[in-house]
Amino acid sequence: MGSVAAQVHKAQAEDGRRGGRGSPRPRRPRLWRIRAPISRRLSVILAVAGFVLPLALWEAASAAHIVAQLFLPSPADVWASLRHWSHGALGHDTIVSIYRVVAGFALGALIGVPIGLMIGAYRWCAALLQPINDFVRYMPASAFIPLVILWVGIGEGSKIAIIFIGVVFQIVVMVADAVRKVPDSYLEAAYTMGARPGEVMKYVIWRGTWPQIVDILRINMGWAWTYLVVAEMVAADSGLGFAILQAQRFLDTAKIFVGIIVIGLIGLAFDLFFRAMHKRLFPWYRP
Amino acid sequence: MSTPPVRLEGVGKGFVGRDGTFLPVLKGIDMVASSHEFVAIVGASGCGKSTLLRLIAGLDDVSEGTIRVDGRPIAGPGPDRGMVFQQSTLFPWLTVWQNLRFPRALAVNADATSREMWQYLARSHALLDMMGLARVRDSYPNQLSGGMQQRVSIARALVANPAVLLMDEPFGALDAQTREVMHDLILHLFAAEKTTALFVTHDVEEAIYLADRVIVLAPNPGRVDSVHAIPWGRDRTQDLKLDQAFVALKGEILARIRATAAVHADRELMERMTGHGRAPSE
Repeated sequence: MGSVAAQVHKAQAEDGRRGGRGSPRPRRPRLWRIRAPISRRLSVILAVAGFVLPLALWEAASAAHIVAQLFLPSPADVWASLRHWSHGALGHDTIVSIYRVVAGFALGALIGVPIGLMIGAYRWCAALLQPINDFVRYMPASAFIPLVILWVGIGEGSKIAIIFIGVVFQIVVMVADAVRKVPDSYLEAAYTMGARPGEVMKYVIWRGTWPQIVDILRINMGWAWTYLVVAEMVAADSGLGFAILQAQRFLDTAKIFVGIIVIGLIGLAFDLFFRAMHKRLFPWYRP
Repeated sequence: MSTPPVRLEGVGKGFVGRDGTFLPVLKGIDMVASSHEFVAIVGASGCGKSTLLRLIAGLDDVSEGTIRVDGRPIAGPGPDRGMVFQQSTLFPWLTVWQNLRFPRALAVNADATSREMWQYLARSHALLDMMGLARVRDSYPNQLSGGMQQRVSIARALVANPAVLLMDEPFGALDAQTREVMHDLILHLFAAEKTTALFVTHDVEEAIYLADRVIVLAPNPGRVDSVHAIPWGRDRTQDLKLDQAFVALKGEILARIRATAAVHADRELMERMTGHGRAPSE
C-alpha cells in the first residue's frame, strides 16, 4: 500500500515538474471545456439570469440613490412611464416606426439582393460595382441626412431613405460573398447536366444561397432598427426614435429607457421570426 | 465501323504561368474509347489525369487537338457526357429523388416528347432501385453517408443516358470497405447499363478490377505512357484481386507509374536542391 502511494506521489511530482501534462489532477469544471455542451435547463436559467441580473443591479443602484434620478430612473419609474405612454401614442409610434424600418429594409433588400447576386456571379459586375459599393458602405448613414432632406424632402420618404442607405450597401456585399461561396463543383455539375448559365443562376446559385440570404436579411433587419433614431431625427412628428429624442429634450429619462427597451423587444421579435422561417424553409441546411 | 463514343486527337492543355511562360500539362494525347468500353486512367499525381477528364467534360478548353464525342467535336459541357466528381456535387437543397430529376427542368430537355419524358422517369426509377437508393429517395444528401451520396451522384449522371460517363476519382474519399461495395455495384451496374465510361483513379487495383483497359499517363507534360488490356470479362468477384495474373498485372502497371513519375519528380527535386543540372547516380 505504502509503496503504491509513494509511487503515485512520485508520479504526480514528476507530472508537476513536466508542467502537469497528463497528471491525474481533477479536471477543470466542464463549463470551461471549449465547446462543452450544457443542459437545456442550465441554458434557460442562464438566459433568464442574463436579463434578471442587470435588472437587479439597476434596481439596487437606483434604490441606493447612488446615481441621481435624472440619470438613472428606477425600474418602477420606467414601468410607470411605459404605462403612461401606452395610454397615449405608444401604439401609433410603434406602428409608424415598424413601417419605416420595414419599408427602408425591404427597399434595401429588393435592390441590394439582386445587385449582390450579380456581383457575386459575374466578374465584370464585381469589377464595376464592388469598389464603389465598398467606398459608399463606409460612409455613415447619418451623414446623408442633409442630402436626403435636400433630395427627398422632409416627408416619410426621407426616414425610409436613411434606413435604406444604412442597409443596402451591407446587403450587397454580404450577398455577393454568399454567392462566391457556392462551390464551383455545384456549377460544374449543373453544366454537365446541360444547364445554361441562366439556369445555373436560377436553379443553383439562387436556390443554393437562399438560406444565407435569409440570414443576411435577418442581420440587416437588426441594423435597420439601429438606424431608426437617426432616421427620425429628420423632421419627424411620431415614431419611437422621435419619442426618444423628444424625451431627451424634456429630460424624461424614464421614457428614453422605455423607447430603447421597446425597440429592443421589437428587434428581438423580428429576429425570432426570421430564425423560425429559416428553420422551416431550409430543413436541409447545415452550416 | 461505327464512330467511337470518345475520340481524342493530339489533345494538349497548358497554362500561361505568372512569368509568361507556357506550362504544358497535357501534350499530344491520342485516345479512343469504344462503345460500352470501361477505360481507367491512372498515373502519379500531376500527370494531368483529372485535367484530361475535365477537358472531355468540356469544363476546360483544350489548347490544341480535338475531342469528339459520338463523332462531333465538343463545345463546352453537355448532357451527352455525365460527370461524377470526387466530392459530392449533389444539391443539398434537393432530396435524392429531386436531385435525380433535376435535369428534367432544364431547357435542353424542354422539347423532349412525352414518350422521352416517360422514359426518363422510368430510368430514374430503375437507377434508384439498381443503386439501392429506394429507401432514401426522400432524404437530403446531408443525411446520407459518403458512399450513398456517390451512388446518387452516379445515378444522376446516368439518368440522361449519356454517351460516356466520366468519373473523377469518385471513390477517392470513401473508406476501403465502402469502396469494395461500390466496385461490385459498378460492375453490376455496367453489366446492365452498357454505358461507355472513363474512370480516373490513383488506385491501380481499383482500375484493373473495374476496367476493360487501363491507360497509364506519365507526367511533365502529361502523355500516354502505356496501355494495358485487362483480360477478364465483366463477371468479376473480389477473389480476382488475389489471382496471380491480377497481382502480376498490378505490379506491372505500378512499375510503369513509378518509372515515369517518381523518378522524374525526384530527379527534378534533386537538381533544384543541388542547383546543378546533374542527374543523381542511380
